[in-house]
Amino acid sequence: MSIRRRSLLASAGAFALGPSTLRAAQAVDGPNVIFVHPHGGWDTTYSIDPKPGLATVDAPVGEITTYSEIPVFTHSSRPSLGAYFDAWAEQTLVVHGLSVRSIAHLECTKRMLTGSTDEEAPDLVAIAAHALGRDRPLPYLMLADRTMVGPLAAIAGRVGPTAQIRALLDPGDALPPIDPRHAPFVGSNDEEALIRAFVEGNAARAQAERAAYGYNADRIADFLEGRARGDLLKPYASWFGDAGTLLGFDAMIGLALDALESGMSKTVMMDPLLDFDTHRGNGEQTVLQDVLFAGLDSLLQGLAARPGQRSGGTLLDETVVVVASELSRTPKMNAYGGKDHWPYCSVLLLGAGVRGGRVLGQTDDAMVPALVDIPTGAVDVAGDQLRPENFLAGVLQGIGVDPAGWFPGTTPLGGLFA
Amino acid sequence: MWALPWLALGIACGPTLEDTSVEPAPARDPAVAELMPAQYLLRASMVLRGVRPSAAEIQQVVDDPSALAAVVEGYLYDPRFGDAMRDLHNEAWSFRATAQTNVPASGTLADEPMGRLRRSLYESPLRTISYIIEEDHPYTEILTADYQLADDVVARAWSNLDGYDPAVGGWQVVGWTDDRPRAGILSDNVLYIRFASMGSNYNRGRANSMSRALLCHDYLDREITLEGALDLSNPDVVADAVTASEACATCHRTLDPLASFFPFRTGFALYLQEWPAELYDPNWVTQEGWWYGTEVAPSYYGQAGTSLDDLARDILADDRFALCTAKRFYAWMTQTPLHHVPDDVAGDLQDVLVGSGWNARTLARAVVMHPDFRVSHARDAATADGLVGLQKVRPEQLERMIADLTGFTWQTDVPELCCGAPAGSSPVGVIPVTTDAWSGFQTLLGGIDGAFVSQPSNTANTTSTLALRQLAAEAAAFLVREDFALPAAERRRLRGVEATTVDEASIRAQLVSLHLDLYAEQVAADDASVSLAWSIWSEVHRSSGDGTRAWQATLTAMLQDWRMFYY
Repeated sequence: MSIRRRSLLASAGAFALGPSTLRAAQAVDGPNVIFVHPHGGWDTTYSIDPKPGLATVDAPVGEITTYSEIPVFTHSSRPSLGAYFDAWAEQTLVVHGLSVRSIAHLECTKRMLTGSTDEEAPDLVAIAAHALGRDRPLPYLMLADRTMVGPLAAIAGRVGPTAQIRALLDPGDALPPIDPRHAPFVGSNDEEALIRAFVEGNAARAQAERAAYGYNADRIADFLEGRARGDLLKPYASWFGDAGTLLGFDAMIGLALDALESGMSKTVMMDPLLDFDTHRGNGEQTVLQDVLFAGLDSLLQGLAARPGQRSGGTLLDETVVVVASELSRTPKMNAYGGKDHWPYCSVLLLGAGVRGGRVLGQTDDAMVPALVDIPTGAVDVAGDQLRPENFLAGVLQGIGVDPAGWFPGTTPLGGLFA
Repeated sequence: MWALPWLALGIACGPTLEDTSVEPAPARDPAVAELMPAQYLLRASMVLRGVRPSAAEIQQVVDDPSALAAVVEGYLYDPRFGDAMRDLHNEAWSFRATAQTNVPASGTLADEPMGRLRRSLYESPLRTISYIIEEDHPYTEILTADYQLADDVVARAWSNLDGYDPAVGGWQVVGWTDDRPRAGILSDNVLYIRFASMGSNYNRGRANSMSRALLCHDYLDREITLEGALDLSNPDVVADAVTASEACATCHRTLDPLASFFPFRTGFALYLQEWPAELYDPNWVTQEGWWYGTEVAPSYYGQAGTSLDDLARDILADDRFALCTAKRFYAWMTQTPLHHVPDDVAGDLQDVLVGSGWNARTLARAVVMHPDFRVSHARDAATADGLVGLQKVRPEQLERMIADLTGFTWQTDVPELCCGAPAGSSPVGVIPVTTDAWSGFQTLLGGIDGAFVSQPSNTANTTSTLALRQLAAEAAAFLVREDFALPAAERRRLRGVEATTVDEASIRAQLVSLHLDLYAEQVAADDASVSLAWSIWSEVHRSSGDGTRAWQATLTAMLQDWRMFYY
């Protein structure tokens, strides 16, 4: 078999798992990363890519307001949009024209998050967590169903659509059995220590024999790592809300802020649960984008209000935020008053070190992207089509992670960071 | 090195190894350690049935490795082999949508809990497939059957099913009352509620789902580079582009004619509000309904046809169908990503399948006998690279395994409406905790949900180990309580002790027996693992004076060991 073996933890060198290691001081050798993924395909003509008065584009009502160097299509029906850019334009970079080369949600999601068509490729957030946050209890907090962890599964944890993780972390909030007479065994601390000794003792024997090398070694290491992280995560149980309750965007933002501030996690993937897939009735984008930008404003306010881990700074100074839908919408309405899928995307990048207040790339009157000089990010007729992998590699480079191993042969998009 | 007695494998009951003229593969590199007989039996049992081998079976193969063939053959005829085949095909198709919330409880399905609707509605094509396999019908029948399977929910969901007997219950073979083309699972309405294909996309989404599952050809893997400003919102422009634009036509000249075969009302299924429902359009074939959709006549890569049964015929004549089937069996049974399945192995297995008269059981047998299936571990680091040894238990396997070992079925009642559920929906109701993605731990255990999480995770992480620990605590408490309430001979596991038993020899003897039941390991009473378990039992008993509690603690530990998570 030619399956690639995961040996990333081993190759990373000094990471030796154990509770003591995980509890070690939260070394900050790179920023936190939050990826907000408004799923479904946002129509950027409602916000960051204004196209008014064109026969080629069905645009909403509004007017172009320029914040710093960013033209934004504002309107009283989208008050949060203007409020967001009033507050955060200087920190926000807009990148236009990423070509995902597909118009199917799942495929586009994979490409936008991972920069790859490979089913086993990890997304940007997983890579950042692996490189920068392995000492955290839960390096990669997944507040979204659509995530890709590939070989980095051990550092990631799903909360679940109805916050099921809570039921795993807190015995008092466990899913109730059908027959209430059947209570689970609940051990005392001493009893739990005995159980741990049994499990870890047998795993150690496996590591000396059947799991000494390669794939098997990784599986047992992941098993032990998962258990250790589970124990470290239990004190945070109440942060995840009530099991059985849908986590809304506001709750996700609060959880993400708590997770980063406390050092529980290094990276977060967040799906605001706003369905931007407006095939029937594109006018819904008005409310959707207003809610999205209100949430982003709330997120940034929260980051700016909380202390960072470096002396004197805020969490915003130590966090990079990416906002990207997996695809966008056609320039023109379809017969149902909606818009269909469009394979060119615009994204936002903001936060620590980002050269904000600017726009990279552009789309023309037909929403087709211009070519870009990838190393500088400048529009260039002799340049290349911008792809998600260029952008993701550029983000990795900007946060101090060498992208070469993850995106071999890909030129990182320049101009993102100061 | 121990080696399987290859030529002895293949007993009566259907096509066997000798029938298929497969030569045993040569021995592996000596640096690759193969599974010992009991370990091999454990893996075969987990893959083919999702449960552990019995103690008697393990003893049998340890005493006489040549008995392996007969025991494994028995697994291929175990009723739970059908469960495994459904799990396998679900990973190919993603029929089960345990995170879906858009199934209304109305009309003939009013008052049915949403959890039940989800589990039944999406299961029918998988039941049809496993029925065909278990009945040793040619596997090709999944595309030619003039019947499908239904339970009482499915029978009430569709207005055109006939022959279901509510008095008998369970899953039954039923027929269609309309004149739809008879093309096995392609004729099942579930294909149309499960795979969305919106508006002007017509049936292209469904056609690609079929292509991906049956031919291992996913049109979405391709890269689309639009030529200039193509207005994808305009059906006329799209219709023109899919033939005139080379970038589009590369896929659409074969995809669109496939989509034109599907005689179902496009887009309709997403808006189902009432049961029973009717999705089949009887005018499709007679009035060339495709004209209003793709505007391309049905054909299979240039082979003209008119209806779904023509499509089925052409797929069956395509070598890629057998090759893809072989790849999917191997990939699932060895936990190898589909695109990593070696071409030569896939080719050999394809020959096995076709040569057996399309007997899927024979294909499963061939995979179980393949050297890759026997890999235990590497003896050095260089050899370890690229070698899959341990397989991770899937949520569906975990559910069956724990129920079989302990009698415990992990369920919970979700009495509320599901988030985002349509008006008139029922509460979720009782769900299986390990295999429900919305309220349970299916994706947290590394499983797929059929909608958002499309790839399984074959390793451990924080949530999967937490779930295993909680399940262990639930199942251990249940097992000990239930067993000690019964006479020793009637118990499931704890037959050698009572709650009052305290002598070390008896306790260790019981622990030895549990190592056999749980891990398929024959160990001595002074084995290190037994001693660790004895430490738990003795310490808990010393501090609590409670034999029941001591056994619950001990079994909680044993059931969360890595040997329950990997095999």
